[in-house]
Amino acid sequence: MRTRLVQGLSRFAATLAALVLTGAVLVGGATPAFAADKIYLKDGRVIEGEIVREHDGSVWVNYKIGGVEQNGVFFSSSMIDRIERDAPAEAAPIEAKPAPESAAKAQPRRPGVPRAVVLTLEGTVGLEFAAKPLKDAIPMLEAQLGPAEDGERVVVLKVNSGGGLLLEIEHLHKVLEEEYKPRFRTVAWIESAISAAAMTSHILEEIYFMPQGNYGACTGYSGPLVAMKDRPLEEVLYMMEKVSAKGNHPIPIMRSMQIDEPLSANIGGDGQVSWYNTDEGEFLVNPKGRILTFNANTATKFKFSKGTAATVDELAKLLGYQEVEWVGRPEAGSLFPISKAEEHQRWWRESVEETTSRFNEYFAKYQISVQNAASSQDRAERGMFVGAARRELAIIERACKEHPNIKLLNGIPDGWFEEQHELLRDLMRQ
Amino acid sequence: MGAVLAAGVAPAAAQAAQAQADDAPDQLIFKDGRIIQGKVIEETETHVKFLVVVAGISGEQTYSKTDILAIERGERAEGEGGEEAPPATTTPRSGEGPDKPAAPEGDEADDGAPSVYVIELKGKFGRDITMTPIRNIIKDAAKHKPDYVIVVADNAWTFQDGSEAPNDAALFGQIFLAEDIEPIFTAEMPQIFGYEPEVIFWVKSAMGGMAFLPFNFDTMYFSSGARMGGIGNLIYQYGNTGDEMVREKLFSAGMGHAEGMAIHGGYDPRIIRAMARTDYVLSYRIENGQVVLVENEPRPEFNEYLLTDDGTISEQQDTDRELARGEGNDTLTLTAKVAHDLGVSKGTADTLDALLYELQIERRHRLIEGRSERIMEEWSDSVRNAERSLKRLWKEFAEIQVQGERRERTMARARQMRTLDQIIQLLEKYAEVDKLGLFEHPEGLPDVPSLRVLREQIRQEQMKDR
Repeated sequence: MRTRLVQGLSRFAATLAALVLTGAVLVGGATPAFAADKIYLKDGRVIEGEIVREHDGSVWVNYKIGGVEQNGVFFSSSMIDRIERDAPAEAAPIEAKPAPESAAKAQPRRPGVPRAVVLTLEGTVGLEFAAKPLKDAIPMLEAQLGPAEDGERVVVLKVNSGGGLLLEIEHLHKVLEEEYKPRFRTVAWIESAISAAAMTSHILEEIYFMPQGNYGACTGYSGPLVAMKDRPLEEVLYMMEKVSAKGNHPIPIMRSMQIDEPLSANIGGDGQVSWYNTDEGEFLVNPKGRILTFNANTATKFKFSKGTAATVDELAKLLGYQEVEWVGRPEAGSLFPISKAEEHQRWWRESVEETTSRFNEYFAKYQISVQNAASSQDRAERGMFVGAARRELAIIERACKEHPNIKLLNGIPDGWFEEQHELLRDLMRQ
Repeated sequence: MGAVLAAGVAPAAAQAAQAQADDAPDQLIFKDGRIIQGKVIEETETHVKFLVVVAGISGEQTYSKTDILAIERGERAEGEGGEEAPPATTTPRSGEGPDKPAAPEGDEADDGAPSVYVIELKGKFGRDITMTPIRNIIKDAAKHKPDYVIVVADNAWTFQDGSEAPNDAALFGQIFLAEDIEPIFTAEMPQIFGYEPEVIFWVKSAMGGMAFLPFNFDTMYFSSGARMGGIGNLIYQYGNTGDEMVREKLFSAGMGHAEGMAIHGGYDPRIIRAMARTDYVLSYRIENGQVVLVENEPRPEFNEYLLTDDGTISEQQDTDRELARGEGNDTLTLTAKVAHDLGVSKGTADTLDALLYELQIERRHRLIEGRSERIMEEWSDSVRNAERSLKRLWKEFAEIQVQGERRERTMARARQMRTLDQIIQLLEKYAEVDKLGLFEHPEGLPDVPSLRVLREQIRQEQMKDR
């Protein structure tokens, strides 16, 4: 730790020299007191300070060491595990325009105007699209949407996912049913919800589509496209019957999304839709031999969706509001403002993507270090390699702790980390 | 700190410094956090030549890109600039393409005339036509604030040997690249422009993944020889792997995405279904001037016409003669006539003048001389150059011998690691082309994670070498 601290100061000195050379001044904020952004480094250090500049995950930070101000100290993205921001509007990326004040500070509620946020659920269910970040976002939502007694609070879950792990669906249902629904008006806004993503969203009573929206194709399978069958299939079918009831959706719809059963419907004079897992209804929604996926037109026609909205303004109208305060900071290219809770979802996804894409690499590096340690005759050299192995192991361990499904998917058994720590200790005892 | 070659100020560089005196400086941001300001004189795949100006004194230096985190180009006082600006050695092209109209007589800048920016998407979809150049074109277009953006879909539909591919060749799987590109036009462009321009898709060749893109927009025109399709292999993507129900689930999911695009643009999703599924039967009739689609074989008594039959039934499969002549109907390929009959195309135009006439702005418009063609060419050139660099670097890596005295071994390993860093940088930079398998790798080159592991092995070998 001390050695790494010295390295950090050396980099600072080099940075300072460069600043003198260029005449550039990196301190962006006018405030002398540092905001409490937290940069969690992979070596275990936590830097608390103010991010004054950033680029592609690398940051320049003002912070204090022992009361002494350090300005513009650089931390590359490869050193950083994650960042928690205190004031994201101020610490904006280089390319971003300054955020308006309303996005950065808590604004007083306007009476009678609901507050809403959009949270994106993207990636693989069980990895990027998971229950944990949704649960972690709740305090952020409470803070930004304000207390319930001050007005309606709406959470729009914008779904864009091709599905994923069956085992995560129940965790997601639990968070949505027990944590979100009691607190917020929670609705789904479907860009693409395929397979486990549709099965997750199905617990919500209010489902809206984007014009390009698609929803369904929930057949469970494993390996080389081998369908679930027998008892496991029956259990999933039953689970989704219960979920359909909670989401107030007719059971035949999800059945036709999961297994080869036709789906037809009658639309009564009062507009009520009756559903059948046969082809005898007036409208054949899904023929035998096909698996159902709704598009925006069919979802609306048969009243599965409560409407189609391309923008948050259109969505607000469908929700029945004249006016909605969409909470968050504006971002170029985004359909909606970005709240802290949404930033948390994005951070989670980036973290998971980085981890999953490099997991095998971390493992291979760890093994190389262990092999080199084991073959070293010189104790000092062995210590060097054991140190390298410990660093890689720490990365793997943290990844598995933060993302338990990664541990599961990579077949890491319980107790493996303890064994590895013991192995490394043994290597040093030699 | 990499290859830093200090030199005196070359005349060209001095001129560059003078000419760009009013411009905001470029910045080199290094991986160790240093930032220097100056001007980019030249940029290659692996190095940047930079004019550093400090206290009035200029110095030209060359830096290796392996040490650079980012290059930020300052705003230019005049003309084009920004991150997409070409390397300084590129010479401007002259001349205009055959489709661009001559400027109307007496053409001065007419402030009231609607302005038109043309984007030609030519080349291979997924290699030449991909997110980075399109984003850069949009940024260029934004400077001109066009009223109309005409996107010419004219992708190459060829086999590996360069020969023309037929209508029944298919690449449905490219749909996901089309999904990545679409929001650049529909979400990013309005944000960057600050308003929504009229977007017109002019289809000349939209085959494979390119066929999905125009469906997201409500205005399409076709040239008379146009074709739009090449996505008819949906139900063949998985062969006989696994269970039929699971395959059908994947087809359903793919169709959900495709139909979503059609609905987004205001088109009947059954049209795109007929383009993608060989087993889908679709016919049409005209009723009170409107197209009515029906999912059955045509009934002569209703004056119905067949669009696609069930090509999985052997008697109905397209014959070799039909396929060779582009007359197959197992899946739908939109031609100018069919697209117009179905209401997909608003009209047929073979020249830009004719298209502008259809848009009723032919007499009075201002054609913007943008950089879109140059940007596309530069991107394609950069991909080719990157492939060459990759091949060279991998060969260089293989030729580095770690031998001799310790100092020599250390230097050799340092060169190995630098070379691997450059290779990784190239693969990451062109990941959008690589993920579709369109970025050529030298034989034996492993993937990025394996390269990183290899680098770590070398680093640890160095640690052991005392």
